[in-house]
Amino acid sequence: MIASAKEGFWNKLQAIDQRILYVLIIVVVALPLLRPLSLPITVTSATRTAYEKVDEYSGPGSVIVIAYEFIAGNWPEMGPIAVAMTQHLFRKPDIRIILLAMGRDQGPILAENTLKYIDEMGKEYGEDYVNLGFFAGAEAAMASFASDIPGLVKKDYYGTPIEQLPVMSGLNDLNDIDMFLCLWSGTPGWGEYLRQWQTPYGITVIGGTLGINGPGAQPYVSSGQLKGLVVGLRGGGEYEKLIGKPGEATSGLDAVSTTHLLIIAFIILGNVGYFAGRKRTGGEV
Amino acid sequence: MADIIVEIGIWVAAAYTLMIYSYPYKDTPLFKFAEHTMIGLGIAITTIMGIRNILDIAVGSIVNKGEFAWIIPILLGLALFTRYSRQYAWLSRWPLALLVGVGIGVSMGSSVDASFLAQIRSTVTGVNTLNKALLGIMIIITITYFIFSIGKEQREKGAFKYTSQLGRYVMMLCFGALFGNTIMTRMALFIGRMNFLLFEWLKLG
Amino acid sequence: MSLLKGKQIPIGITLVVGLMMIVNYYFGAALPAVKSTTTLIQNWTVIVAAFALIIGLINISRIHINHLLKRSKGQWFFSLWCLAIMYIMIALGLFGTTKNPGYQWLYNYVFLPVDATMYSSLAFFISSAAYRAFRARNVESILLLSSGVVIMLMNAPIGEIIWTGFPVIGDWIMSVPNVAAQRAIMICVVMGSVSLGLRTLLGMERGYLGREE
Repeated sequence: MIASAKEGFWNKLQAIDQRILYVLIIVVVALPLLRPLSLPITVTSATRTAYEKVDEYSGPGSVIVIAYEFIAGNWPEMGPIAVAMTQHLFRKPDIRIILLAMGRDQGPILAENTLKYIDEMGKEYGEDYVNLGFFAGAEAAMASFASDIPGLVKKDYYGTPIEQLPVMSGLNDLNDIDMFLCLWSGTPGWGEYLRQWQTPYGITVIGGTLGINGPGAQPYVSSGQLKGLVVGLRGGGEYEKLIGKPGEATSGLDAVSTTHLLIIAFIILGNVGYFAGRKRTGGEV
Repeated sequence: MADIIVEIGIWVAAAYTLMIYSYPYKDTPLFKFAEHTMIGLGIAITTIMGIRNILDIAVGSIVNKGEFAWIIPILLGLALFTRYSRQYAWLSRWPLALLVGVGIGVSMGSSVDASFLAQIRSTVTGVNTLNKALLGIMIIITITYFIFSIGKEQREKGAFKYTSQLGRYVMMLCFGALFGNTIMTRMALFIGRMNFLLFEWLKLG
Repeated sequence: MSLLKGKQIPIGITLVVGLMMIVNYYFGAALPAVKSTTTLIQNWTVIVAAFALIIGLINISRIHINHLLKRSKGQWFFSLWCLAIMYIMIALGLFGTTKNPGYQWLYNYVFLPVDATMYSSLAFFISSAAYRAFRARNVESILLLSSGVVIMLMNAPIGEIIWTGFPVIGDWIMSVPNVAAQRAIMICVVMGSVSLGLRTLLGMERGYLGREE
């Protein structure tokens, strides 16, 4: 009787309505957002290296390209990274910043969205920074831009001829660019820029990407092809701490902690129930 | 007036958010409506970017600078649309061939250098720590897992049996890392939406 | 005429253009004529690719206009809405430019929330999978789950509070076995993609050209 009651309990636990799991997820996300736990965020060496490399390669007179190769669907995780890293660069005096996209057609508008969240520190559009928009063709566009910028780039995202934008003067090919900040969420993205920009021209690249892409990008950090990499919401929160401007990543990391603990609890409970159920039924599932 | 438009926008965004979240509960017409909205807008954005490229780069160069060579890619691009005609569909293969040829050519040229030689170079140089040595060993045993040209007997009885099994274990650690990071990404996206619902829509903070 | 309609010319185009790109990568600096020609071809490819983006519009329009004409039950209203919102957005973006307030509003308050929410709903499914599917049945799954749990606790600020070893072990997993496996897979993938690329350039793989007529 007791054995069959326990067997029923484990089976019931295994067959729990998934909507209960969904409600639990909602609760563990909402609670820390409404009542922050303010858990301390330690800056890891990876993010600190990326921050220091951005500092190192964006000295006065530098020309920086930022590629916004992600989509609206990734904005909650990529947005904080994009905002923090773009803000860091906009604080640098006497640099030229070129925003563009070659893999993702939403890049230009997401670049605009990023600029809404930052302090432009007196930088003027057209003089200090420019949004070149999107170029179709992915890897072919990257190859074209790298070898002949005026040949490909005729107008900016808003239709202004390039000749009327002082920020673009004197830029002929990728050798005239000092640093490249690649913010990517998939393909086309870093892999294509690696082949068309970093490998042939040896340009300094620092990256920011989704958590899911982090492990796949590690070999390039290890080999030095990526000088630094900021990964996921955790990386975004760390970067916000480094620039002294807490944002959505910082406020979201408490919920990251609670959800991760819940997922681990699910895994443990699911396995305990599975093995307990197996034991009761003599190894049959 | 601007504030009202923004507020309407927030309510519309919240409505669409809840429509999409109705799916885990049940597949509803509301979800289908939101899904079709996304498809329509997504295609529209892509089309606008494509047309802007054609007008700004090609047409602009012809009209403003007299660079008539840009007529060739415009004709090739137009040829893509012949795929909808039975009689002339063969024409659409030419621009496709250009796209594929350029795509393969530009990627093949540097992929050997970028993802093959550079990675091997990084593995074999500067092996001055235990971790770097371990890394090199792990790479070699993982590669043995992918050698399928060896006969079944040798794979199951020889040293390859152990190295490829160890290689699988190394890959499991890697996939675990991928899994852990995937959880962070998925949760981060959900946290972002909850942030919007709680603070921008319901104004609870 | 059969030569024009056949696959020989497209295969030839793929081969010549592909070889030019490869030669340019390795010898472009020494062959300025090749470099300038390949740059020109790459510029042209951007325009052809831009036309290819419009194919999506035509395909979606055909599908949904078909539903409208057939009055497909349970679908025609959604098709009507999809077409309407699509062409309204195109009109706003092209004739009003992307600075148009209507275009910006539709993107920021309709498309971005829908797209972000669509991706974020995976959080529910992954939590369900964590409970029902992630089983430590053998050595491999135990390794996978253990590694996953350590990485999760490395990513979550609370992990370091529970035990300071989680970030240390997590960092080791990311920089040693993860890099090892990713690198090994990358090396194998590059070999495979180069051989597939060569086969395509040489005309052995013709799938991209469609069926024979």
